[in-house]
Amino acid sequence: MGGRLEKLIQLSPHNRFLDLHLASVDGETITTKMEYRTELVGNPDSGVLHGGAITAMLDTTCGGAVYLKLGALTRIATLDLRVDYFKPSTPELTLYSSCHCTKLTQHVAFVEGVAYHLAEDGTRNEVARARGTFMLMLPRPGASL
Amino acid sequence: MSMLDKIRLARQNKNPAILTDHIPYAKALGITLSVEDEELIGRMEFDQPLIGDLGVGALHGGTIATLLESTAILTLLWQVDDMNIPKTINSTVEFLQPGRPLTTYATAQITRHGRRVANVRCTAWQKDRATPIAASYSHFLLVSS
Repeated sequence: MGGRLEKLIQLSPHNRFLDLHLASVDGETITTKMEYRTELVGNPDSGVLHGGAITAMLDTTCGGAVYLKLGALTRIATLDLRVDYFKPSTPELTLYSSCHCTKLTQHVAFVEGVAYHLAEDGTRNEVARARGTFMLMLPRPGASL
Repeated sequence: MSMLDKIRLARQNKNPAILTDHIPYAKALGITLSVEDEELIGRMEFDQPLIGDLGVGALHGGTIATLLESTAILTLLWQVDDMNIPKTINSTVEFLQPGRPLTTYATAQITRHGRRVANVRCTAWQKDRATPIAASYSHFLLVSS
């Protein structure tokens, strides 16, 4: 599944622009990573990432979590995405994002995710949290709402 | 020159276009600003790296979210005197239509401007302003860090 998810992420030109890659798959959680780049900065004085770049990352990763739960390539569309910004990102550090689908119905997928830096001891410094809803464009036979 | 100095200069010259030149991610996405009939309009030219879904040729949701957030922040900076760069507390984006490979526009309305928090609503459209492709509502923290 990991190889297919990475291929899927790379199909999107904007994900390639972000240099966004699959980092790991653990159960129903997908983790992606994005290296720090000056092109992704929102405030040149502080060097922190633009909120939009973090939102783009979370949108892609939340979508990946839907595919992971579905186990199939149904076309999906983001209905809405809410992002809470806990603190500014740290310049130069790689950003990770882990998302999982909390509920899959016949037509809708509910997803939660987090974007974070990893400390040397492996602890997560959370930058933002997201909650999104996705439409499944093709109904799955037998699924119930 | 700091970002705040650039904002003052842009306001003095009534030329918001120079603001987006200094926001690396907005510049990378081809986002510019103009004033039309006293209204600040964000504009994102179509380019291939903005595509999120190759299958249907739709814009990446993150690029639309970035146009909305950039327009919201710059509208605050444009309309309010001597403001520090607002920090996004959270933002919810509703995706109403697929973003076509066309120029996308956005405007922001400051629905409430308090002492510490501003509430901003934005809409984005392409060919027809009456048919928005996305809408957002966001909270911004106005106090300095």
